[in-house]
Amino acid sequence: MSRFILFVAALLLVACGGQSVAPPKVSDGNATHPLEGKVAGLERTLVARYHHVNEFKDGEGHKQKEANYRGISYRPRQSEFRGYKGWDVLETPWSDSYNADWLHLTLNRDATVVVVWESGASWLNGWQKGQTSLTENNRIKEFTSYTKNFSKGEVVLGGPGKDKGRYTVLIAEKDGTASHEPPLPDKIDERPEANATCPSWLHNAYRATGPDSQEYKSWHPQIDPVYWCYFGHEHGSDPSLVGYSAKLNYTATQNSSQAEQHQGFKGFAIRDEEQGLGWYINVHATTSDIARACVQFHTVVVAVTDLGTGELLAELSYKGDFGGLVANRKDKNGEIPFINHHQCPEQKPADAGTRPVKRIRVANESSIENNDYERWFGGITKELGMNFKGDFGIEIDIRNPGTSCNTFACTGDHVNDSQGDRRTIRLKRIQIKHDPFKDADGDGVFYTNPYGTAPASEGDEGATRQYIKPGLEITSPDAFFATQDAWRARYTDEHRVPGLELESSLSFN
Amino acid sequence: MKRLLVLVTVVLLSACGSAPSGGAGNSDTDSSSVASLSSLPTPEAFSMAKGETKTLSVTVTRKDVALARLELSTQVGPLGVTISPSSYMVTFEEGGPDTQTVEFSVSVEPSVSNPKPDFYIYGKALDERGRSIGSGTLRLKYQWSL
Repeated sequence: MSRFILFVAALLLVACGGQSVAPPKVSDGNATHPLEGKVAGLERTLVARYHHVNEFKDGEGHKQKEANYRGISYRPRQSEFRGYKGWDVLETPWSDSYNADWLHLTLNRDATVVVVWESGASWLNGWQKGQTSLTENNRIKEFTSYTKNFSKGEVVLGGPGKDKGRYTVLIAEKDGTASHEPPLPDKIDERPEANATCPSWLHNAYRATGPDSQEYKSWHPQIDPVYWCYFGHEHGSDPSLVGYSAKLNYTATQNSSQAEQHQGFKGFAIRDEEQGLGWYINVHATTSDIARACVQFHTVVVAVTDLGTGELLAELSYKGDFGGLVANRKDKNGEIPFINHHQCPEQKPADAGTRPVKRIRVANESSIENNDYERWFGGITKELGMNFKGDFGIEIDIRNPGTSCNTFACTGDHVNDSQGDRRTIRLKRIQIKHDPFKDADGDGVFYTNPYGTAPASEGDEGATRQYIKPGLEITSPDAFFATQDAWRARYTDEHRVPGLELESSLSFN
Repeated sequence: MKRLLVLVTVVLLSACGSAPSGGAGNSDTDSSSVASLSSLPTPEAFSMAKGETKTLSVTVTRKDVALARLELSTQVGPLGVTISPSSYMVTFEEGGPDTQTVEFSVSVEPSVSNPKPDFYIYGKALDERGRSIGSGTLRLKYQWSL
């Protein structure tokens, strides 16, 4: 009987438009920082992450919630408000939303939070009311302040509502004192400035040891979580979400020290909880440089971990085949035009069985429009012990590529003024199987050329280390993955793909 | 089978070798309709030894009055190479000079392990409202052997 009542209640809720709407999946905590535990007194900023919730109806009239980062800016120790000088500032965007669940910010430790506004809202009931002002261009502007103490963790604030202006959030330590500037490591005197480009030394601090025991640059977030400076580019998922550490440039180094643009490494971390497997796939898929059009083989890393034990099960590094080049849209005759690149007209899949292809936007051809996704299909090398179901192994879609080919001859680029940050991935049941014939000594390690297509011996020039745990035979999900998390970018089986740029900080992608 | 693998490898490697490697290729300057970028030493002449520090002068020339700022940004591939500053905003005033030079300090640590270090200097052209203008990102690619 009670089940029946619950069922009817659920039906009524749906009928009345009160269907529950899943919140954006953006709660993956903090990424690690390379200087934590190495520099005395080092503390993260008070705010760890933020987003606001954009609620809207999709094409079928269903309510949807999406994480949104536009218009939010966190500026540590930069408040000029009277009585709050040097507090952290979180600027929020204009919004018509009256929702109580609108702005989410996560505090790294207990803090005092002040909302400064010319207006007010019911969600501020119970906050301590006061006054403050801001002097700009010799004019004094008065504001109401609303103060409340919060514990470490997530704080949810309401929307400002229509025509009520923006509010600003000020944050200080729990005793009301401004946060302290973080110390520098020994022998470093170049201080990272908050909200400016990070110095090289900090970028270099994010590193990992490669399969050849050399150190390589590794994943870092868009914004350094201690100094709050900008790296100016992003690498997609934090590989530690699946217990992995990325060694960017390892494959390129084995490939005759190929100069690969650092910002081009884009990762996808997927937790397959059903099978207890963590997948991390990294493809060198920059779209800011049209030179990609004439490059058939792009660096791919596929790593798989045991989510229960953290054990690395497979780590394959190679130049993956993404095949020939075609336009991303059909022309008026329903045909997909080839891009007959002026420098490399002969691009075609190395192995016809894998059917790889790159579909790129073309800007200045009257038969097609310069829009829609850039799509990369392929990236699987069967000689490594990999396989897949269907026509391709990996599909990466880039919804806002930074550049397009100018024409079908691709003699130059067209800049789209987009960041290439709205990426999705589809896996087609990728299989990885240990092959004892490749791994003579049975330790799972074998060496190949940088393409993964031919065996090599350790120490040979270009010998690239591969690892598949002896006896391993696994298959990835056959699914589409996207992310709404700008901070660590875990890919999940959802379909919302918001822009992930934080504070307009992505200069090059 | 082994012969076939070797053959495939040779074909793949030669196919790759005939195509640009994803960068711009070495060039002394990079130019667009709105600006040009050049440097001393030039990318082709650039060379450093382990432990050395060198000053790199990058010259920006405005070719279109709509260019208000050129955002210079550095990107280094391997560990062991540092460039300071990491970025620089070149601003063009109305009636001001069309050519400006910025200096970067490049250091190669003694411990660098990559035998062919590389870095890029990018220039992004912006109008006075901060919007991208012109076609493409200006780019100088430096790579040398230690």
